[in-house]
Formats: sequence, C-alpha cells, structure tokens
Amino acid sequence: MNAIEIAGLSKSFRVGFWRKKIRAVRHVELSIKRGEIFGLIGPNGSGKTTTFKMVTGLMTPDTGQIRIHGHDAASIEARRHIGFLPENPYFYEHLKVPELLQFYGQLHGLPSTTIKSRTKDLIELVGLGHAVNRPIKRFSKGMRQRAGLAQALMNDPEIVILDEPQSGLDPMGRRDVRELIHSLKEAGKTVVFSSHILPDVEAVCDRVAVIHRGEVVDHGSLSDLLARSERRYEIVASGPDFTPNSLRLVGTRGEANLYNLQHGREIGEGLQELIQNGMVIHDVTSGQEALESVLLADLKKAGEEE
Amino acid sequence: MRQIVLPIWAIALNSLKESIRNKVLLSLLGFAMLTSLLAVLLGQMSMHEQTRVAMDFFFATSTVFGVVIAVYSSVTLLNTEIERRTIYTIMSKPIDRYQFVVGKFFGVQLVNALSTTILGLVGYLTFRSLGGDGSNTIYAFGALYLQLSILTAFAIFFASLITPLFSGVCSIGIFVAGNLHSQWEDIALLLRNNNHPAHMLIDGLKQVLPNMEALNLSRELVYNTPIPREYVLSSIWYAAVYCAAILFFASLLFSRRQFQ
Repeated sequence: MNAIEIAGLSKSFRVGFWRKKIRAVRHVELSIKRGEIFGLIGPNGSGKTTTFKMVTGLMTPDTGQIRIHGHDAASIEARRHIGFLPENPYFYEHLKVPELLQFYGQLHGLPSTTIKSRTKDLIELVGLGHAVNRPIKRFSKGMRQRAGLAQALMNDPEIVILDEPQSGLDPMGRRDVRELIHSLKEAGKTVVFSSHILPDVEAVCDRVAVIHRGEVVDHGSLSDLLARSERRYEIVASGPDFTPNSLRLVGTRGEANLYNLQHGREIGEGLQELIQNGMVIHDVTSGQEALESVLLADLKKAGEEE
Repeated sequence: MRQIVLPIWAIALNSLKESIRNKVLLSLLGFAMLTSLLAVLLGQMSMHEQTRVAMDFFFATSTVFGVVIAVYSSVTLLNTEIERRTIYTIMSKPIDRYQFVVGKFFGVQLVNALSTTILGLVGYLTFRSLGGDGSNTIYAFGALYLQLSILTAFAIFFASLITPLFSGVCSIGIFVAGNLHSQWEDIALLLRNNNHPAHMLIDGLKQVLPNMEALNLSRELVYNTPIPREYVLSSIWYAAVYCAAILFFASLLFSRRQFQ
C-alpha cells in the first residue's frame, strides 16, 4: 500500500467581487510510496499548497480521492499518520516552545509522559534548546520554522508533509532541514515537501512531481527527470588560432579558450577537431542540466500545449 | 474519551491564556472596577435609596462589560485563528471540527467565569459596604453568567459564518432582543387582538430568541427577593440546552469551512 494515493483530485475557488472561478487543482494523480522523499515543485500559485491542504484535511476536494495509508484524507484516522508544517507557520505568540509542543501533544491526545519526552527530544532535534524560555513572539523567522518542524513531528508521524520548509532559513538552517529530511527517511518516514529552492529538492528527493496551473505536468524519479535533460560540456583548450565547426567559443579561461558543443554535435567530434588542428586540451567537464532547467522546460511545454 | 476531551481542554485553556494576555480585556475589567466607585458616588446622590441605586447601576454596567468581554473574546479568538493561520496547524491534527468549536466555547466560558466572579465579588463588597445584605449577589451574577454563556454560543455561531464586526453586531442584537422577551409578548398580544397576521412572526421570533430576560436577576438582587431552587436548576438546564443547540449548528457550519 502506498503512503499517499491521490486520484482525480480537483479544486476550484471563487474569488473577487464577480466570484470568478479559479481552478486551483486539476485532475491531479499521484502515488507516493512509503519511505520515499517526494518533492512537489512548481511556480507560485501552481496548486502545491492547495494540494497539501486537501491532503491534510484543511480543504475538501471538489472531485477525486485522497487515501493516506488507506484511510480517506478527511478522516481523523488519516490525520493520525500525518505531521504537517504549513508555509510560513504562525503560532500563539505568547507561548514558549515547550508550551507550544505540549499544546500540540494534547491535540494528538498523547499521554503527558510521552509529551514530556517528545518535547525534550524535538527541541534538541530542531536546535531550539537555547530558546526554551523565550516566547515565540521574540523568535526569528528561522526559529519559527524550526518550532513548526518540531510541532509537525510531535506525534512521531509516518508521513511528514512540509510546505516550503526551507523558506526564510539561512544556508545553515537549510542544511539542517536537508539533514533532518534525510534522517526522517532513515527512520523509515515518508517525506513530502514543496520548495522553491530547487538545488535543495535535488539534494534530497527520490521522486519529484512538477505542478503547473493545478496540473501535474511531469513526474518521476529525480535521476529519470535529469537524464532527460541535455548533457552539457565545457572544453578548455589552447593552441593555433582557428574556428572549429563542432564547437562554439564562449569565453576564455586565462590564455586558453573555453568552448561549448554546437547543438547536435558529439563530444568526440569536437575533441577530435581540436586535436587535429594542433590544439592542446587542458580540461573537459561534463554535467547535466539542473532541475531548474527541467522545471522550466516542463513549464514551457505545458504552456505551449495550452 | 481522552482523544475527545484532551484536545477540547487544550484549546479551551489556550484560549483563556490568549484572552488574559489581551490588554483590551484587562482594561475592560479595570473600567468595570472603576464603575463600582461611580456606583457608590451615584448612590450617595440619591435620597434613602443609596444601596438600590448603587447596586442597580453596578449590575447594569457589569452586564454591559460582561457582554462586551464575551462577544469580543468569542469573535476575536475564532477570527484570529483563521486570520493568523494558526488554524492550519490545529485542524491538520487528528481532531474534529466540533472539538475546536467546543474548545473555543469553553475557553470563552472560562473568561466569562473569571469576569463574572471578579465583578460579582466587587459587587458583593460594594453592596455590603453600603449596608445591604448581598446574599443574592451569587445568584444574580450566576444568572448573568448563564446569559453570557448563551451569548457566547451565539457569538461563536456567527463568527464561524460571517465577519467579526457583523458577528459582534448580530450577537449583541440577539442579547438585546432576548432581554425584551416580555415586550415581544406584549406586541404579539396586541397584534393578535387586532387579528394582525404579523403576530405569527413575533410568536415565531419569541420561540427562537433566547429568553435572556428570565435570566436577569437585577430586581431580585436589589430587593433581596428569595430565589427558588427550582428556578436555579431550570435556568442552568435552559442555558445548557440552548448552548448545546447553538454549538451544534456552529459546528455544522464550521465543518463546511474551507481554510484557503
């Protein structure tokens, strides 16, 4: 059984004075396996948060079904399996972190001994040990995000849903979240998260879905998505002055020239041409286009299809 | 059972803490205290009626402050959760929507209990200092608490449906209309005697509106009229049933709410 099964999910809103209909999510189909890290990426307003809200029971879908460990997402039983961190979380400003976690522990109906031990562990896990006596109103954005992560893990959930968990965090905070996500996977949890910070998605995700205007336009394992993108080569060479056919001069590196492959040419062809013309090759680097390029290509394709 | 009661208790207690930390409520309670002094001064200005005038004035102002505190707490507590989006982290937990509504209701009930206790205590001391008996103070403020309970249920009902300002206006409207029960009866009687069909509308309104007037013991407080035990029990039962019915509909409305 999959951790989350989403079938034919749609949601519309009516906004503004004329109650204009906005289709926020359209026929989304997703299967999220147990124990994987799943990333939902897409531009602002693409429907990521709305999808998460339906998964966590904050909204009811117009059509479609969401099953969480086999339970309907609207049921209380489904929410027992979930820990959720909303985007830019807000908390009761007067509470201190231990009080906040006690409150959320009580909402889960946990025994007081469990609440105490979980509170202690989570404060340590998210690195808020230095701020236990400080009310949340005096927390920085990053500290609030950490408090949000702690409350999402209060019930030791099997599925952790994080909406933009790295938003507002400094590089060290982002690294901590990445490590936390990895440690959750190691502990056998399923992690579903959305992010605008695509290098972070690349760094942690097993599978990714690209969502655009409420529709899933692409999905698959991260390696599959990246393999589909073009390979990119950079060649650094020096020697006699000549213009190769298979390469494009894009700059200089010291006294040497920096070349990229012309579109449709093979790397062997380019290297052979340089050697035949007496050039000395200093360096060849290869890389795949980043997830950002995949996202942009998917969005462009989706735009053309519309 | 624990899974039902514990979240309600957590929400109620947290709502009480939120209210106590709210300076507006504390200021209102402070103003209420000042009115006790004003009540004594007003009493001094009336011939042979010092105690009656002072207590009448103090009870009336206590009612006004109690109403403002109950409505303000109910409307702002619910609305703030939605506006500040704290509701996202609460409603994504394994709790039912009705538990949230009932938790908020009990949270405001704790605020009401606190405010009526303080006001009642100040009223009793004022009454005694003016030479009055004051034995009915507990009943009068207890009945005020029951009125505030019904008012709170209505305010939460409206707050789960419409904007805070409109919720406040509607709730106070219900409180005022509910305190005019005998006047509604007079109007209905007059219309009935004139064979005017509008009497059916007034009769219907009378059935729906809470009978706040029956829970107003200001006269009994001032004249120290004995209050029968049956009245106390039936009043508690009436308020409890009324609150349960209103909260049922509030939960129904709240369960349909989409948190965008």
